[in-house]
Amino acid sequence: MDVNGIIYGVFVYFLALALAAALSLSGKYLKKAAALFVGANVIGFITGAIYLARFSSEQIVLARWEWLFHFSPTLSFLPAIFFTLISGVAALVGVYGVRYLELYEKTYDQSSTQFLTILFVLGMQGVLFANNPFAFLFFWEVMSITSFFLVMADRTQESARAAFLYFIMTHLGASAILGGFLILGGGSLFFDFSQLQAASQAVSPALAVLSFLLFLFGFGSKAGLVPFHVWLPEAHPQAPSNVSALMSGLMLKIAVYGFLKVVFSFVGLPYWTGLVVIVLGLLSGIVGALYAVVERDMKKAFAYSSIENMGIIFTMLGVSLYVMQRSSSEEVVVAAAAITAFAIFHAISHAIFKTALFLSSGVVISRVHTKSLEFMGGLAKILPVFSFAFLLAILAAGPLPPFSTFYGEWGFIQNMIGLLHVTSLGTSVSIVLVTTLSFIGLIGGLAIFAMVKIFGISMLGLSRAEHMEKRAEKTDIFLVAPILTLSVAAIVLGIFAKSILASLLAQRASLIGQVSPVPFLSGLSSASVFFVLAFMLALVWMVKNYFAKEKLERSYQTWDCGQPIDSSMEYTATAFSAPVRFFFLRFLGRDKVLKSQPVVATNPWIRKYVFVFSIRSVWKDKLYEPIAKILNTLAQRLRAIQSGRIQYYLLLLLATLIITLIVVL
Amino acid sequence: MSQLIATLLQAAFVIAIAPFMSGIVRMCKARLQGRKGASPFLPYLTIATLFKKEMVISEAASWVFRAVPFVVLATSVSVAFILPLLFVGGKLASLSDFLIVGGILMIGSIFLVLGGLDPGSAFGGMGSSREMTLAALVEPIIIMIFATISFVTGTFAIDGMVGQSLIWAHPYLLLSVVAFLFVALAENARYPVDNPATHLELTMVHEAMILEYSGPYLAMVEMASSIKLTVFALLLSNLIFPSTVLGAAGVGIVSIATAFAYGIVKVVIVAALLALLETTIVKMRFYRMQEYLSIAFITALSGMVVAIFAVYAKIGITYYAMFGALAVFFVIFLFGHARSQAMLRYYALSSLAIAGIALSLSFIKEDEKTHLWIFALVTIAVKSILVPRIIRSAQKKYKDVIDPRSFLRPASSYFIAVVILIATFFILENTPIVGLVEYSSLLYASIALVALGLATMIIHRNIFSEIIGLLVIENGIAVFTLVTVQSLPLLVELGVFIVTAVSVFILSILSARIRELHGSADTEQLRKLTE
Repeated sequence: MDVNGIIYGVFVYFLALALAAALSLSGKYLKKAAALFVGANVIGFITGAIYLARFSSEQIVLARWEWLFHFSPTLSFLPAIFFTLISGVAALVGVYGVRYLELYEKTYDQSSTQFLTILFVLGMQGVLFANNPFAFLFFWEVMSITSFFLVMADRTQESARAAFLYFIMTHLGASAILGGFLILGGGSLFFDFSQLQAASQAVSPALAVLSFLLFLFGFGSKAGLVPFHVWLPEAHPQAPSNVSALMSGLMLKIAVYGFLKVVFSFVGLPYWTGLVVIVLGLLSGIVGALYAVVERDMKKAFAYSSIENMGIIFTMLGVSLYVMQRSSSEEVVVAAAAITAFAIFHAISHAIFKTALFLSSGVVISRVHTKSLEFMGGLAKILPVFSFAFLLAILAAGPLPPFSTFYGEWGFIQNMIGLLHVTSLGTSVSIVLVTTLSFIGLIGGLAIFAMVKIFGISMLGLSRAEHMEKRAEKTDIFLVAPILTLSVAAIVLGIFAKSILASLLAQRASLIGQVSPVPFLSGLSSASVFFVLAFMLALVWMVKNYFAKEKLERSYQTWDCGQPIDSSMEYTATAFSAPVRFFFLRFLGRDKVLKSQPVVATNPWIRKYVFVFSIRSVWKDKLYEPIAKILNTLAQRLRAIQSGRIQYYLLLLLATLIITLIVVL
Repeated sequence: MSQLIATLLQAAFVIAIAPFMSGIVRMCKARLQGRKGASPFLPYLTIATLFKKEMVISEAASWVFRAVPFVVLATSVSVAFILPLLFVGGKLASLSDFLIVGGILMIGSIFLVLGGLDPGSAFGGMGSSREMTLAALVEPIIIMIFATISFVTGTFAIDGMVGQSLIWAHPYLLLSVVAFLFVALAENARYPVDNPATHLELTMVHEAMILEYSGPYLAMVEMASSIKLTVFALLLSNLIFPSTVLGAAGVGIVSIATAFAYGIVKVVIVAALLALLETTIVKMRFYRMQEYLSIAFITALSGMVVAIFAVYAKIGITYYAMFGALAVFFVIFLFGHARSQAMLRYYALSSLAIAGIALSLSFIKEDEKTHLWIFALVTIAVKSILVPRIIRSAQKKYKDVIDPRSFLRPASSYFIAVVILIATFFILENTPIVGLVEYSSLLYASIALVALGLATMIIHRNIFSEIIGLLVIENGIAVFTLVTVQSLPLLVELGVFIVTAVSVFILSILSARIRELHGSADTEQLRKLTE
């Protein structure tokens, strides 16, 4: 298979996607369209994998359409990684979607949801092939607008509100990106991305910084960086679960891709810009992790966990930018390139496990019909296979060996410690690195807490649900299989982490003109970690069976102090996260009201207690609402010139015309 | 081949001795409490009996409950295989990357937590919630400790860290080892974090989670925690005494016997010390864990900061820098405490560290030896002994049950202290004075002391604490003069000490009078003007 094969593969992929979209719009061939969608993504995945394995050093121009706004779709290494990832994950989500939409046929309009989902994937993939800002922004908008409609797919009031918040934020972000490109291109949107570096040098330093800030806001708001994150925990959970999975698992990666593609081509930015990225990244990490711990809505908790992971990725990218700005000595540049490779690896892992988690939340919610963790529990007994897959995804979400997520952070921490040795960087860099190191540790710990809470409360113990659907697990096999596949993928990626990272490192190093591959700082083999752990588990199992041969056991109720216990006495999600909430109360807002009043006025001892508890978003209270208030007051002031009389407006028009003419002439 | 044998022998030894370790801790504790105590070999019998017993499985439990003992025991056993406990450079030495080991231990904790939640009882939930909180908050401390050691040794594998003589070559790593002790106590559910002896008390963490386990499963979980305790005991002693760990290459009968003997000695000594610790301190309330963990984190962080300084100064052992760091370190604790007794204790320790600075400088500046020695002795006499006494005696008359609380909680004040330190660092870095002075690390210490003293005065509400804040500032200035002014006339220096002692005397009398007059030492209460 040669380069032409890749080109055909990509074209077949896009044509099949378009066909699937058209078919699902017609409404008759929904199942066939879904199958076509899955098939197309499998083709895309295979094509991408072949490209990565065989032609990863080549940049393939698929076509040159000068007539179509100079759009010539281009495939190179970085986009190919994301292309393969998105196709692979989207294929699994497609399988899941068939059964999922069937379960919710009353809630969602099947044909339009499927149509929009396919277009959404098409938009994301299009961004990757864009060769100039115009194409980039076009597909970016396709991605944003389709996902906007998908957020309000269930057409409830709540969804519409979340969708509009999303719409506003995403368009502020898109216009910031547009502004950034316009500055770089000197007013043009049709320059090729290969000229980005030259363009960033051509503009004045102040303008370069301005466009950097615009890009940071644009990509950062899409990625859900704090403080531009408010839309994410609202919008992602409102969409159907398969779409939430696509949004959190894949769309966020497009923001990472954009940031890597554009900001890393900048030359000569002042060093505080890297520091800003680190601060935003760490802030997102810590805020995301904390809110994921205290959140009681399952999907929202996953959305906060996405913010946290995006925070980690942007921290990595920020550290990479920062140290490169501080020193251009070889070891620093190599370490910076290595950190970006680990960031990409973390992005891949996040795409896999976050998709699995959102898909799992869909399965759970389809059983208990609520998103609140307080009404879940006891599902592991009904759904053993699903709970196993879900548990793997949960473990993959924390930085734990032998899952792939671990190796991204592992390499990052090692490179930071390595950078501490570089004395030419100066002590202030050391302080930044040490601070980052401690925050990364804390974020990791809290992330694990959040994940264990979600799994433990939703799957284990007694059921707190008002009505739980106890249909057999077999009926949901198409829901469980994709989740299991993704979880296993996280392990497999972990087993081969070392060799995958080695090729990623080599690629990143070749970008900066480094011929020899970046050496690993540790002689650890990722495969042996998995095999040693598996071996130990098998060993323990065998030894136990050797010593305790006969199965002596009896089933009895949980030890209950003599009074029968029921699910209302179990630890809830709120109770489980209480210690962390207590320790970090300063960073979390909450409303807690405990009212007690006597039932009868004469007897003060028998009382009725009312307890109301809710978590407030400090960001909304302290940052967004004041801004909204200021805007409102400004708008109120501006009302003075609004009289409502049409002649008056015409007068204003005339005045504007005259003033413009005076200024121009 | 010998590597493989060494690894296998080590794992077998650790697994075999683990119940003995638990047993001997219990026996020592019983002896220290005036009881006779059971034989240290009792746990072997317990485990053997448990393996024969029938299990009672909760009706609410799912497959997760059954998987837990296997995973938990497997993680403990893996750690016993991987870490350099008896032999360094074993077959699995390359896996002893500190993040991997931390991750494996974390998997064990996670599964215990899930096992606690699965039967659906409130006890299990409570234990799980607490265990998970501890495990989550210990994570950054572990990373900081081993990042420091790995920064100093240049290796990421714990195997490589133990292979070098750490503490003796780099005294500041003692801070990391102390932090590791804190972590070890928390990870193994010992005092002051958890009470391993209670059942069905609201204090418990670990026991609450495993309440529903019985029979072989209970034996496995108990075994896992014993192994974990033994592993931590051996690792801690190996970090301090690396010469007791033998190389895995070319093990013979003699070296195996020596390694085993060392192992038994270490286990017994650590167990005795642990028992002593558990009889002398009390368990902390769970909601005060943030204090405990913050202290552990700050200790680990201080180790890191001093290590970085040592690398930048390119000096092997700078005792004066270490003492300077200690002086600041104690003031951070002073900053976090609200009781003036505790504050005085840390003030005395911090002053002692300053005397240490003078002493270590005396070995560098030969010509000022006598001067510095006198300075050190007078510092100890006046600041570590006399001044705390004066303030204490002035306070003694009024036995306030509760000291006025400071404006910040302990944990947040520790972090404020760190922020202040970072801020002073950045301010100083951009001032030209740093280049001029010979001992710039001490300059940082002095400015940090002044800043922290000022901050102490701001956040504390007790008038006696205000005096201590003032004294900390004075300490900072003392360090400053020590660094910048090459040789002050001895008379002037002694005069400063006398002035300090006298002013403390006057201030504390004055404060005591205020206390007497207004019935409170709380500055919030003293805001109103009176006639």
